[in-house]
Amino acid sequence: MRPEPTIDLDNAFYWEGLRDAEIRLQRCEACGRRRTPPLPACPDCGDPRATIEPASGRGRIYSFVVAHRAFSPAFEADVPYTVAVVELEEGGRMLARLEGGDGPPRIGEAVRAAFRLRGGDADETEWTEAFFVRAPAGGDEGEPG
Amino acid sequence: MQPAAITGVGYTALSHASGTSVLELARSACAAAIEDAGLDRSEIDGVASFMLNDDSVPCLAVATALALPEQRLVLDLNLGGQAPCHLVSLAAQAIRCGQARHVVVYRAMNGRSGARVGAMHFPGLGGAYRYPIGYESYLMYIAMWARRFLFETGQGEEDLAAVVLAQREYALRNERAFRRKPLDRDSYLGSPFVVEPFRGPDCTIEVDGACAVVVSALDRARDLRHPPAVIRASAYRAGRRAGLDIGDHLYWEDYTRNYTSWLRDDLFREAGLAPSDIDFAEIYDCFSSTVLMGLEGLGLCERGESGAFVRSGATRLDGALPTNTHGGLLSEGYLHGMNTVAEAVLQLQGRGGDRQAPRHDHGIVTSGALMDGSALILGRDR
Ligand SMILES: [Zn+2]
Repeated sequence: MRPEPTIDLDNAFYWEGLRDAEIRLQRCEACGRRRTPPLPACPDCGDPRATIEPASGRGRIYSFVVAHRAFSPAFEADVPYTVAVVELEEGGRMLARLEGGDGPPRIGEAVRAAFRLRGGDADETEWTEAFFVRAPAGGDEGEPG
Repeated sequence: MQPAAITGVGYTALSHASGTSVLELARSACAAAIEDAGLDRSEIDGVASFMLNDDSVPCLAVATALALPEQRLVLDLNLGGQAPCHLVSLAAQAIRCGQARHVVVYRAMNGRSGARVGAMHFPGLGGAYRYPIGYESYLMYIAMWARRFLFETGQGEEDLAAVVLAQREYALRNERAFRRKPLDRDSYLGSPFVVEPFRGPDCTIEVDGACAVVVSALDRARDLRHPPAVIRASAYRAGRRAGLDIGDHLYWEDYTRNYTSWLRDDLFREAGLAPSDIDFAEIYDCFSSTVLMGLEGLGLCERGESGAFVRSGATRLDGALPTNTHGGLLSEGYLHGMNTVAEAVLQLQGRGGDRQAPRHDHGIVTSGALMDGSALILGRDR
């Protein structure tokens, strides 16, 4: 069974956003920087005031790894799988599965968010996972970031 | 102010299955270090250690099992590989202030047959974004940084290979090392990926065992069995935006620079030395990339040139900077970097045997791989 995300008072809006197929970021009202994962104050200026804004879902690969073995039984069927750190167009970085595309992923490559339901069996909570999809061959090749 | 020095080191055997409790491993390594220093246990007035997710035993249990007298300093940190140099530093600070005289610092773990750090889930707020998608091992976190580091510095698998091969050569001269089979470039490149860009030989090997060092007041250290490894400088550093827990790197801005870049200037300033004054280095290496990043971060070579530096032979025994002379955690085994500190002490004291660095006036040692970590510069007594 896959571990479920721990939802708390600070991050509930984020997980609710994913359920609505939307990545929601916090924008600092003092310095304007956008951040994720959720944090009760801005890590750059310390201001607690933030507006929640939807992100476009577009981003670029900052780095990625390919797991050729599973570290727990829940992920054995997924091997090999890719996890990327994606830099969102608006600011902030997300950790997510990376799927699709031809050939090995490239740092700087453009990707877009997609969403899928997880859990939901009798003994599991339902939650939504955001993952990123690479453009098919011949599509947007992206600029190196 | 009373300067401090490391006076003794102790190890248990390293194995896949110790058949021994963690308390007994800890007791045994600490007793060996106290004995190695030439101290009587009645002189020990401090104990310090670290653990992750309760994978070890608290210091007071070890003090009790060692029949130590009253303790003036007890430090249990909930940390990983960041901790060894940091604990030595905190012990040295207590000694300088006169709050302790002799502190034993240990790491004990049934890290292979018991709780394995490699696949541990850590408590903390960052887990919500990692564990549900199968991003669940230190190997992955360090691999994520390694990929970006290699990309930005124009390096690649040949540079990781250089570290692995150079360290394996040292391991042939270290009876304690777990991996002692010679390894060549083709066998390295032929090894399957575990988590790209890491292959099996890029990763440390989890073991059962314990390692300890004794930090002593220098005035007493001068009467003891071995030449004191004087602590010339020490530093701990967590860079800004260090994240939500020890496995969370999402707020860290630059995956190509770890804590070594942040503490370097303070460390060398305190020692009154420059990187070119360092005779040997013991760089924390849970995975091969951290050696490259550490060499560059500490200014021991230029940015982007660490792989070429290692390939040139500079880190060999006859090179300019013998590095990870025990074969590193990659070869010796994963005692969470306590053994990296112990190796630095052996080298400084001239007890390296077949793998002794010819010049050993000043050595540098690090603990940690990502956002936070610590380092020491050790020097001979004058
Ligand atoms: Zn702000």
